Amino acid sequence: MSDSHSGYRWYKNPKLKNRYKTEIDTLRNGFGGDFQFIEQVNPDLVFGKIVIIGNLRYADNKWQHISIQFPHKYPYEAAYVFPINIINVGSQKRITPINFGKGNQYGDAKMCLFPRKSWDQNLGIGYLLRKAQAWLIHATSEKGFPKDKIVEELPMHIPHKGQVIMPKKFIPEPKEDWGMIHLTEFKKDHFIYSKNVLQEEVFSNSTGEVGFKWYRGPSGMNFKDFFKNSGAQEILKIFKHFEIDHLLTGVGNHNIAVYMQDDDVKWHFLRITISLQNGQSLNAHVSYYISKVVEEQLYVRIKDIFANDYLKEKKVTIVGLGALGSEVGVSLAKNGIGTIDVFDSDVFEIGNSIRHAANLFYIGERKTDVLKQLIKKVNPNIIVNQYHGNILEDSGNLEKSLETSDICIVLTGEKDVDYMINDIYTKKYSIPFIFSGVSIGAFSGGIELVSKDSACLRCLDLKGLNKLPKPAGNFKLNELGPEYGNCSGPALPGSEIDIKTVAMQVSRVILQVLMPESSKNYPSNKGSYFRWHGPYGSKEKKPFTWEIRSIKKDPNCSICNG
Amino acid sequence: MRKAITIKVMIENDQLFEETFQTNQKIQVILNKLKAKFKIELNNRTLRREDSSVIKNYDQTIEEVELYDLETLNFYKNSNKPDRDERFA
Repeated sequence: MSDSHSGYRWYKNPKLKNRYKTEIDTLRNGFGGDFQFIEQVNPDLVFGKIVIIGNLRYADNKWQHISIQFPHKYPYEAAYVFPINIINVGSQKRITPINFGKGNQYGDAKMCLFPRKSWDQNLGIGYLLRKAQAWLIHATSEKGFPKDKIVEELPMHIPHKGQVIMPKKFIPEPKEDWGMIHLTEFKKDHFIYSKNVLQEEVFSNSTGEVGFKWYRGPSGMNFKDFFKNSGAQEILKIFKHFEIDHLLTGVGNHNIAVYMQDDDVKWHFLRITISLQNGQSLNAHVSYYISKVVEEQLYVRIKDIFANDYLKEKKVTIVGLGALGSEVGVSLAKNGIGTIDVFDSDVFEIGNSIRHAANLFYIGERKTDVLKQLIKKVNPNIIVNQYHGNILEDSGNLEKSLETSDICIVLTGEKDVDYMINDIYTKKYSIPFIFSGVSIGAFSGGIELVSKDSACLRCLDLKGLNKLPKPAGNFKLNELGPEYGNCSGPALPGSEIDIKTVAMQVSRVILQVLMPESSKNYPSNKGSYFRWHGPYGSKEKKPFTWEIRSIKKDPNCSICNG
Repeated sequence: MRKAITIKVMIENDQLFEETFQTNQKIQVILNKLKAKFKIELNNRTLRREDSSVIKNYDQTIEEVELYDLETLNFYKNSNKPDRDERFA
């Protein structure tokens, strides 16, 4: 478990030297008598992380052992606190996490102390310890957490292995005490209850592998001349040519493929079905399957616009695979990008589906897996590298990706992630970075292109430009409950119509930035700061206006000039 | 009973101030020394304790506020311009 990655480590950042020292000192010095420091775990044993084991006082002089883990990108992300048991086995300590079963706790026992958006980088470990003390009071009480203290509630007390999709509510008849429910398993551990409410099955399974024996056809000929029609004589001629006519004596299917090297279409797939007619004579029927070569035919309609041979050599890193990220990923695949690295920590859930490039079939899968499938379904030749995990805890995968990437797109909508990548990576890697997100309702949106010539996010802060347009209309949208599995705060309302608009503009800017200077058939990018004024418009702009500006770096920016 | 304790204060750009004070000294004294060392303005900042609770009254003494030995305070600037707004993706 040694820390062999070359990723960013907050405690090795010279700009955080005193921050690191004071955080550890807070713990070592006892936090005013409320914390007993036991040990700092060797970082080599915990993937390079700073992990502190100690004893925390709460309530009336009660104590609880805890483990404090600082993520690699601290303080962009808060440290994690776990209640633990420590058992001494000889000279070794065995540490096991404790789940109190009262809610507000993840499956790995991490305490859910506050909604993610409450975290501010200027808060410190002392703030977390106070929250942990209050948490323990409730977690160890008989009643557990009062409703207003619940940050996140798992829907059930036991983890789930899969899901059952019910298209509509199913309420048994009042007089029925029992019955049968027939579910269709559309993928492993995922079922849909469709029989009583839908006319037809929604998801169909694949039928598995089919083998075709292939033969080389005669040279100097095309297939049309070789196999003139699908009659019995032509079938016999082919089988005799390949000396396999003995197969025609029995009933059954024969799958053969013929390779015609001098034909424009090289591969021809045939299924010849031999059956008995009237119980006596043999009848042959042929099914022909036309072949298509993706790399030759996929981009024929756009090759002159987007120089696909050139874009095929390009690599894009996408961080965040939600509504925007999924649409951008699929769009880039459709326009010829050759390699796409995808980062996300989430699982695709039912509420995601109405504004995501994927659909209900993908429920329960990691978003990185979902995007890979979507991209491969556009073009199986695209290389997709998946990284599932919290980018603020990432131990070097992002660095590995950026080292060979041509552009990085940040589409998490999370301020901490945006600033983290802006502060740590935009100067380190001489590639463009694009950040994008939409407002509540998706009624406005923004795209920021950070490059060697244009303002970073901190420059935009200094200029007062790091905000989205305020929509002109009167509307009231309700925030939703915290998304299941994500101690991050409420999901914001917004529809795929306007999200897709912003996503398509992000894709456009990416392609414009990546295309060669010599490309004459698509206009080049002219801006670094894009604002979408949405269906309501704003005080400044009419509805559906894209505002495009170029913003230079700010001379007082500590990131650009540090 | 007065005694001497060491107080640390973090400010922006990872700057750290550390000095020993008598517990009957006022919070204002800490800030005045901080100002002298780093040549900063004291207004438009918030003074927080180690657990991030806010100290508002600088006329109180260290003892009255109940600061403890080796406690780290922070005294960051309040944000002047609104930073990146809430969004989703």
